Amino acid sequence: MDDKYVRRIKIGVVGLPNSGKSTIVSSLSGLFIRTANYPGTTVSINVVNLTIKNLRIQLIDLPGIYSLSSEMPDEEVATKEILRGNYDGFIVVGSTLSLQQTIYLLVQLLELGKPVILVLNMMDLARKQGININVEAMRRRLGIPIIPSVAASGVGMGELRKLITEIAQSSIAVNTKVIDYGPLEKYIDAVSARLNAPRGLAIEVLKGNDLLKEERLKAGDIVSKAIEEIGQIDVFVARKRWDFVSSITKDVVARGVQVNLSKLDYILLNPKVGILASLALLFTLAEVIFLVLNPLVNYISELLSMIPIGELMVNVGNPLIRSFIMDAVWNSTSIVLSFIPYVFGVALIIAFIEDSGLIIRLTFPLEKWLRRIGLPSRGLIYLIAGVGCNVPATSSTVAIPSSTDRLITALMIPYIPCMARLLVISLIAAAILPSQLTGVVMILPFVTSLIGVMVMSRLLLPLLTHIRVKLTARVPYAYELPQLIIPINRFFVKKVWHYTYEFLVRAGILIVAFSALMWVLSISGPSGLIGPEALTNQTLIRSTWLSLIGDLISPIFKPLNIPWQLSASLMYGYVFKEVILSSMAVLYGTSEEGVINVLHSALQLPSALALITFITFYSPCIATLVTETRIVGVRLTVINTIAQLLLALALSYIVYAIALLVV
Amino acid sequence: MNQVEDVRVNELPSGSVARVSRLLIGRLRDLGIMEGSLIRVLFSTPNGPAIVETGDGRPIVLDSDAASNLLVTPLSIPQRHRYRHRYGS
Repeated sequence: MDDKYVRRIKIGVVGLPNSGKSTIVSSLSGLFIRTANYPGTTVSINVVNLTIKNLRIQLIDLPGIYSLSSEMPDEEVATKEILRGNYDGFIVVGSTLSLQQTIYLLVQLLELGKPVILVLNMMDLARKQGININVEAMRRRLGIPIIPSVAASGVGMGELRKLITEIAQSSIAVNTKVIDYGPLEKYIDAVSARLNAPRGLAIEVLKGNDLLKEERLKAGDIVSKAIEEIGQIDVFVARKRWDFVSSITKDVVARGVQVNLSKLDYILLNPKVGILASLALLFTLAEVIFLVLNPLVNYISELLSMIPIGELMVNVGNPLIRSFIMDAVWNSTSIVLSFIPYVFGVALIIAFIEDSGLIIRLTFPLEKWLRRIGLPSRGLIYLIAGVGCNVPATSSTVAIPSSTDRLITALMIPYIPCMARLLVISLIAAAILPSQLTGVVMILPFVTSLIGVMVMSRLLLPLLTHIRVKLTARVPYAYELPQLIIPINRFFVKKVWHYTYEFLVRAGILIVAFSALMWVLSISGPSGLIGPEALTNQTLIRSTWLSLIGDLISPIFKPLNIPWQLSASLMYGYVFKEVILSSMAVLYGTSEEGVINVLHSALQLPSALALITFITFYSPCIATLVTETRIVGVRLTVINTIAQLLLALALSYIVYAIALLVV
Repeated sequence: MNQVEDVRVNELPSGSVARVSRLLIGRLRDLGIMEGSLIRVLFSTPNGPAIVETGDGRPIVLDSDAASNLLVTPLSIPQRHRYRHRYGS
């Protein structure tokens, strides 16, 4: 088709938080989703391009909002876009379970004078609850197209595609005057004429929207007169809008929307029993990760060990290439592959808690206590999920709406010992202690981690406010309680797959690349290439870069009576924590199974406890570091990583000193 | 008659009914909590978060900060809380 016939339009997808905007955008496109970071914020806005016949449509999936006068820093991104962006029209995605709130937002979009399509999502859930919405009556009252939809199963998407093309043909009616503001009308008209702005923008100027300060200055005299006559304009406008919402809801909803809290709601939200119930549920969650997925990890490891990689490599003549493939690429790849079940489990649980509405129930009774130790309540789930694997837990913090809370959570996740770290720690514990005491020592990383989180969240919060001016105050949260739902649909599966895939691709490539780097450090030294023999020869390994780095680090650990081989192998922890074990084996010239015996003879109990404390959070792996960088930026990641190292070192010295006194 | 003092909504026990007297954060208006409107406290923790039901039946979650910034005039307090709850202490 000739390109001159192609028309382009830009449509904003606006809606309440959790109303299903992204589901609708995915359902519509099925093409590709590009995530763009807008300047000054880490909130991502999904930009989706799709073509319908000869029409090129750019859909902008904006963060959820309740109104155009958002107070949350992250919602500002959406409202700025709506007020300033050059849109041809809007799709307002509303939830039938929050009909009043949807209409309240819809009115504000209509007043902006652009074509608006209302998608009433989750019609199936509304019907299940006996909420019958007369869509035809609503169309008549509002004078706009309304599509009843179940986005998760694609219902209503065909009609929506058709209506989008009508925006391009300008055949969608625009209804800006849905509410008569009475005495304010003359001021709205005056501001609108002065600024040559749509009605909705004039109302926002009169209300004192912080994003429109410049416009308010230009219309200063009109605003003053309006305030003189009406008083608090924001209160007046909100009241008028809610009166309208109330009147329309009475007309179109056959059964009034009632508070519909489930039995589980009454247990989880109860201030007295809710804390215990939430903790029990969260503990069960972590147990699921530990217990259910562990055999699967072992199974995959066994499957991988059955691959005769040594025999396959016999024909590779060059020992350097052979060692590179086996020791660097294959070893790291097999570790990544064996970790997939953990990552999948973490992704599954995070996605379920986020999409079902459980996240609010679980964190509500704990909020006050979490605040006392400096943690945002919304971050708790991600911290717990971090026990499975830090990478998906960190990357999924993008769903936390407040930027301060998101940053603090993302910065705290690396302090949580992941499965790989716990594996190394359990091995050290098993080597030093009788089996009946191993469980007691396994509490140590969690206590250390809690201390780390408590100390660092308090230290980092003032730092955040110091270096990021926009985060000077934590904005109070208030939102409509979403209904509990079971979110098992194709979009849920897609989300879980997305988290897992992200780990496989991004983290996998990084782990393999850094393993290769560590391999180079292990087979070469200041004198040049030593060769793969260094990996198995105790004398040759002393001439490698890795040994030299180990010697440099060893003075730090010498007072703790930790031998250089152990401190050098900790370097590998920056690649992936499990590699610490294989590097210990290499540096001691033994098998991985023989590491336990080596540790038993090399470490005394106080040193072992200090080492366990240090390994708990001295550094996340490279994949977590890169993910952390994407959420909090390079500067904060560097600061946090240094702080982690120093705090881990300080705590290990304290533990060592206490252990010396006690033992 | 004794004048009933305004209190923060998270000072009231669960089950209380109150009239909104002052909003210290405008965001609540966008959620339908207006000066003069009636609310029912569904769940509340002293100085912590609260969940209130608006006049049209919507449950609104308020975190500790939001709950501390919503001042209300108590209209009714569940019987079991009248003498031993924090309210009025």
